[in-house]
Amino acid sequence: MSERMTRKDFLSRLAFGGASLALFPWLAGCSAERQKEAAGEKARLGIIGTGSRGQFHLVNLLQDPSAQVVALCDDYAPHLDAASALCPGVRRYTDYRKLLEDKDVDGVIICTPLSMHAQMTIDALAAGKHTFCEKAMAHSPEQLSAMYRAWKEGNRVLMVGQQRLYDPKYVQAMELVHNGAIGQVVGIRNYWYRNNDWRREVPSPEFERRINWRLYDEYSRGLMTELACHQLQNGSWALGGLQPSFVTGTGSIQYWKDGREVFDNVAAIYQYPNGMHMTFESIISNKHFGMGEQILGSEGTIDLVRGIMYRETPRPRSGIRQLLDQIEQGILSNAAFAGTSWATEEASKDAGIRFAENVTVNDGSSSVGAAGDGSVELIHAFCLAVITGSQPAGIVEEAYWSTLLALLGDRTTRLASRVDVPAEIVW
Amino acid sequence: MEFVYSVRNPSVPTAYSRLDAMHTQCEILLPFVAEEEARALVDSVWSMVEEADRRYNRFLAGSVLAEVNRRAAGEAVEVDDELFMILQLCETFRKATFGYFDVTAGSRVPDREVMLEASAHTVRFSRPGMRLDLGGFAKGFVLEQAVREVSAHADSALLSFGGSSVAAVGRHPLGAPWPVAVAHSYYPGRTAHTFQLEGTALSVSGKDPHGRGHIIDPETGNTLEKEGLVAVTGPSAMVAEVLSTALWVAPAGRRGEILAAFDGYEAREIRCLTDGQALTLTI
Repeated sequence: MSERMTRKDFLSRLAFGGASLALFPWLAGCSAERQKEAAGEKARLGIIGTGSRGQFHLVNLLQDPSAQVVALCDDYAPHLDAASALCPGVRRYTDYRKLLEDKDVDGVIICTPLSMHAQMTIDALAAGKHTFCEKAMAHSPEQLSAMYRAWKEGNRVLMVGQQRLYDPKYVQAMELVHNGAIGQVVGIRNYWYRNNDWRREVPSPEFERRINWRLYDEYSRGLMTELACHQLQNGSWALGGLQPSFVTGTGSIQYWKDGREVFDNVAAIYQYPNGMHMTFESIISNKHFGMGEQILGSEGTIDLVRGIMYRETPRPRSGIRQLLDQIEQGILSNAAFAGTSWATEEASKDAGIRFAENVTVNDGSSSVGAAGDGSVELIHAFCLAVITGSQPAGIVEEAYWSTLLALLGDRTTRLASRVDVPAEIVW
Repeated sequence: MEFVYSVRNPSVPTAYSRLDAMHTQCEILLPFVAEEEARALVDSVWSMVEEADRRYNRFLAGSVLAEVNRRAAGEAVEVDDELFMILQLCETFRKATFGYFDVTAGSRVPDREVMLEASAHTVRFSRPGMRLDLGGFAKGFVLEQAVREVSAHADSALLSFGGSSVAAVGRHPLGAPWPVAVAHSYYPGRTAHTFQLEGTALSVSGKDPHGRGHIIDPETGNTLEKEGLVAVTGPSAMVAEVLSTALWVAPAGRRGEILAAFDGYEAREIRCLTDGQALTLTI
C-alpha cells in the first residue's frame, strides 16, 4: 500500500488484481510483458469444427487484434457455410488433415465432438501446429494419456477450453481461499441443473448422431464430460493441487427416454485424501437451482458463480468498543471499524461480500458459452501463446485432471461402485 | 442504549456508550470524564441523535421530513429554522459539488429543483415524485453537533456513527492521535488503511461491505454499482460527509476539482484486493 501511488499505478494494479502467479501460473501468458512481446503480430489460425462452439470462438477471434483466422474446416456443410459467412474468403477444408498441411496455419482450434479430440490433437501437434482443444480433452483415460504424451514429447503449445482458468471471479475467489479468508476448506458443492432435452434440431434422421453427438456413448460421456468437467477443477484449485483418491456415484435415464444413451441425471462424490469431499450433481429435467459452485470453509463460504463470499461470523457489532478493551490494557493500537455504514438490521441476514466486479451470473443454460465466463480471455491467451511459442504453465495439467475426474465420474455412475483415482498423471 | 464505565485501567477511567439509531449503531468513547458527568453527557448526545432521527428519518410517517416529502410537490411547505438551514446547506453543497451531492438523487425524476423561499422559510418541489433523503447528511450534521457538545466537557473522545461517520476529539488517552482503521473488506482483522485522527472527522462512502450499493447516482436515480471506498478527513463531520458522498459518486476526472473548493479536507480512494492487500490513492 503506497500513499505515493499514482492513478496510473493504481488502475494498473486493479486491472491485474492481486493474482498470484504461484497459484495461477498460466496467467503469466497474459502478462504485460507477453502482450508487449506479441504486439503488432497475429496468430494465423485454423478452426476445426465450425458448429456452435467453433462459431462462438470465431466471432471472438474476429474481434481480437492478435488473431487472423486463415482456415476453416468441417465435414458438415451447413456449419462450414455458416462460419464462412462470418469471414468470407477464408480457406475452407472438409478434411482436417488437409488443413494441418496448410503452411499458413500456425495454430488450430479444435471444436469437434469429444470422441475426435484426441486423434485430432495428436495429429495437429505432430504437424507442428500449436493446438487449442475444446474441453473435455478426451473420450477415455487411454486417449487422455496419449494426448498428454504427444504434447509432453513435442514442443508445441497445447491449451484446452477450460475457460474458468481465465475467469477473473474464479481467480479472485481462489486467492481468497488460499489466503485463508474462509479458513480450512471443508467441502465443495457443484451442481448444474437444466430443464431441456439437450437436443439440437436435425435436418433429417441420418444426421441425428452427428448433430446430437452429446447424447451418444460413441461420441460423448454425457453430463460428466460436457458439464462436470468445468466444475471439477474447483477441488484441486481450492486444495492447492490435491487430487481426489476415489469417486463414487450413480446416474440414470429417468425423464428423457428418447433413445439417448447418456444419463439425464448424475450424482458423483469425490473423496480427497485429507478427508474432504466434493460433489457434482446434474439433473436436466428441473432448472430451479440453475448452476452452482460453492466452496465451504470453516470460517466462510464462497459462491463462485455469483462472486460472493459469506462469513460464518459476520462483521463485529461493536466498532469502537475494541478501543475500550485496548485502553483497559494500556494498549495503543488501531481498531478496524471504519467503513461504509453498518446497518443494524443486517445482523441476522448476511447478504455476503461481493468480491468480483461486474459479475454476469451464468445460469448454466447455454450449451455454447456465456458472457464474461473467461472464454474471450482464454482464446486471446492462446493467440499470444501461438505468436510467442510459449506454453502457459500448468494449463495442460489442469485440463488433464478435470477431464480425468469427469471420465472417472462417468465410470462410477455407470458402475454404481467406487472408482480409484491415480495419484499422479499416467502417460 | 448501553453504558459502560470502566476503571480497569485506573489511570484512564473510560466511559463507553452505544445507541441503535439512524439505521445504524452510534457509539461514543469518553476517557477521563467522571462517571456521573459522562452519563449526563452521553444522555445529552443521544437525545440530540434521537431527536434528529425523529425529525429527519424519511421513513418515519410523523417526521418533519416525511411531511415535506408528502406535501411539497403540491404546495410551499413552511418548515422550522433548523430544517430550512439544512436545506439551504444541502443546496449550497449541491452546487459546490457540481451536483454530485444531491439529497433529491433518489427521486428518479428529471429537472429536479428544491425551491426555497427565505422570507417565509418554505420549501417546494419543482416536480411531482421528488423526495428528500437526508440520511447521510443528517448523520454528519448531528455528529458535528455532538462533537461540539462533547468538546465542551472533554479533552478526549471518539464518536462513531456506524463506522462511516467518525469524529475524534483531542487525542487518544495514551497520548497519540486516535488510530482509526478501515477494515479490509475480505479478511477479518486486517486493515485496509489507518487514519490518525486528532480533532478531526472522518467520513467513508462507498458500496457497503455486504455488496449492496446504497448511494444514488443523481443523474440516473439508480443505485451506483461502483467498487471501492472514498474516505475524507477534515475539521467538519458534516462537510466530510458531503464530500465523501460527492467524491464517490463523481467520476475520477472531476474529483480533484470538487475537493479543491474545500480547504482543510483530504480524500483518499481505498480499494481492497482479494490477495489481502489494499490500495490507497490520494485524491
